[in-house]
Amino acid sequence: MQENEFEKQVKTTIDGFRLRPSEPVWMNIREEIREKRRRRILLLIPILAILLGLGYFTWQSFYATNKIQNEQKNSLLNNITDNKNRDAKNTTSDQPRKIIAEKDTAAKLVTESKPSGGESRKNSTVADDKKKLAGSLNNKKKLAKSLTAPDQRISNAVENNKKALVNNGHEQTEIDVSENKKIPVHSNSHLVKNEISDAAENPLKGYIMLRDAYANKKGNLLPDNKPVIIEYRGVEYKTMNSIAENKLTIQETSPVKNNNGLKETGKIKWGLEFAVGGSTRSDQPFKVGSTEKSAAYSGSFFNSPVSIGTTGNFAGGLLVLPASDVKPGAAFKLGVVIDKPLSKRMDISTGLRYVYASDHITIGKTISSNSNTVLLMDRSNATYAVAQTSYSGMQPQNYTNKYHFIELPLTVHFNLNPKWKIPLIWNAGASVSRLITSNALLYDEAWGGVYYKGNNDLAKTQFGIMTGFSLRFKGNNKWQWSIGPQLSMNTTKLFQSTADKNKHIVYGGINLQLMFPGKKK
Amino acid sequence: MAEGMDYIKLVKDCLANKAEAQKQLYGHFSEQMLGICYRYTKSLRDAEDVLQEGFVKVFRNLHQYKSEGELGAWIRRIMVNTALNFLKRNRRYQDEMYFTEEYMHPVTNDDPQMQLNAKELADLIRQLPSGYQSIFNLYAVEGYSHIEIGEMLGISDGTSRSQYARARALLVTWIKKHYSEVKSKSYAGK
Repeated sequence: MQENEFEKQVKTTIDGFRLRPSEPVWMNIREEIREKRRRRILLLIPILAILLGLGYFTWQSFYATNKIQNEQKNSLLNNITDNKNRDAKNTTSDQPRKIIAEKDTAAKLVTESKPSGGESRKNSTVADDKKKLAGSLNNKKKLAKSLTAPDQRISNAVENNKKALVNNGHEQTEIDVSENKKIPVHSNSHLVKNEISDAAENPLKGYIMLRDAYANKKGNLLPDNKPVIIEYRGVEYKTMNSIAENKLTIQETSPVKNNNGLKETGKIKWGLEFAVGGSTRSDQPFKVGSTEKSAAYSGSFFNSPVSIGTTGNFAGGLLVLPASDVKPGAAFKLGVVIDKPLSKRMDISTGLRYVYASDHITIGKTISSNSNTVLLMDRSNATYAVAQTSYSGMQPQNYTNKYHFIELPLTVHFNLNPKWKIPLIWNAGASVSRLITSNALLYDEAWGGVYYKGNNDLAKTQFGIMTGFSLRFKGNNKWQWSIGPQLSMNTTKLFQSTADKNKHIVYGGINLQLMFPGKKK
Repeated sequence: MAEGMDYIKLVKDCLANKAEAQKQLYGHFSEQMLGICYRYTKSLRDAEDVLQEGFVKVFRNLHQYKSEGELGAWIRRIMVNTALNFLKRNRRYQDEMYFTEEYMHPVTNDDPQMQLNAKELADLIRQLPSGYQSIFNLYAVEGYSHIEIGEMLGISDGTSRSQYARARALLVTWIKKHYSEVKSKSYAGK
């Protein structure tokens, strides 16, 4: 028969060969296709949730803060305008309110608020003032109640300020603003008069209280003609008092960079981190960073686990035998972590940790070999050389590849529901790690497939990415701990050998973090 | 399936996730493809596993199919690659990748006239050691060159060539043996 005639006949004969598959095959195919669509949808849900979360976070960070700041700014400006208009009106109409801005206003206010015969108009005005004053102080009360936890400090400071005013040794006057409410006032203080004046007219008393709270801290009274920076609800304002004009100037200085509420940054916490799980090496479609490669190969060589026939002799080596399946091994991480809150919803952490990872493979019997470096480089030569060599029978054995890393992580924690008692945190980050030591075996197609020790062929510096979720619990004394699943992957290739070149270390496990009470910066 | 089938429409319908079209495509090609899978594996069950995996890949990657090429050839390539991956993955097939002295020294190179039907020939090919079987299928049936086979299997083209020569010789021997058995049976029958 002619050359290729045989092939032609085989092809002609075999091309018509058909077999009817059994019924379950189609059912399984259909199911798998549907499964994939379901997986797609399931995959879309968390992605959508993350996007929504990020969107909400962004909105909270920028839009909401700006809105609050604008509202406060407008409110303050309106109040200032109202005060100016009122002052102008009082100047012309010579009403008691004008007196309020002058010395001993408070006493006058009290005196004039008492009804005197024949001056009903005046009395009614004073009565109105009293009502307004009472209303304003009620507002103050409401404001104090509505203060959030950080605002409570301000409220306390205001109370301290009142006490300080009482105890400063000067002459005291009491203004009866409501049936059961008496506020001590220092009669010689322009600031107090301002406060009373503003309290009577300005609904945004919290601002003034803040100013005086500051004054109290700095020595009971706010120094005249000196600007004071006051933060109110995340916005900073500069105040200027003038005794001569007895006017309060308010201007916005710089917005505090905060998403909502008072500034929460500045607390740095540190703690311990422990994670336990499994790791393996896996093919991944992307890589970051470079691998380190060495031309030198050393150490023992092992058969690929499937290279020996029934006769017990390795007779061929003509086909390259594939690498062993890789099974996941134990892994854990242990280290210290430093955490800094960036906002109410986000904090960032870093640290230093030791990482142990491992995986399992099956290898054949150890081969003794001399100067095989060149053979590993040249596959065809290696094949030829092995064909001349005989090996004893295979003794399959399990082998554990161990990797020891020092890792420097950088993780961002997004609080997905900060109002919950136990918030859910989404963690995402990157890391750079250094391989300290490893006993990992590398696979090479030479000799029909061998495993060898080649530490120099391992990429020592590894870049990685991680993500995960955790539940954050707050214990007594501000201790805080969180637990949740974590998935990380080294994006740098682990090996630079022929068959293992696309392998990356993948880790999955449970992460536990214990944070100690933080210090104020 | 009827002659002159509109493959382009069929593919479009499959891409639109129409179950009827998907079943039609499967029905049209499944028997031929199972025949291919059968030649690469050692059991019908394995062949069906490969077929299933291959068709899932076909449906998942149908958007990559260029309509200018023949759909059958495209699916066939996927099946062959799936079969090769299956062999690489499956430890049982890896264990069979060895070569006995008998295989290393084939008796003859004389080619017999092909007296076998497709099923008998396919069964003989399946009796080859896995390594030989793949290379023989790829070269003699699929028409790949030794260089292409080398790239597909991760071996050199020289290895592929020598493996094929051995597989061919072995198969010829078996065909001759089979032919002589049939002949002697027919004489005995007379």
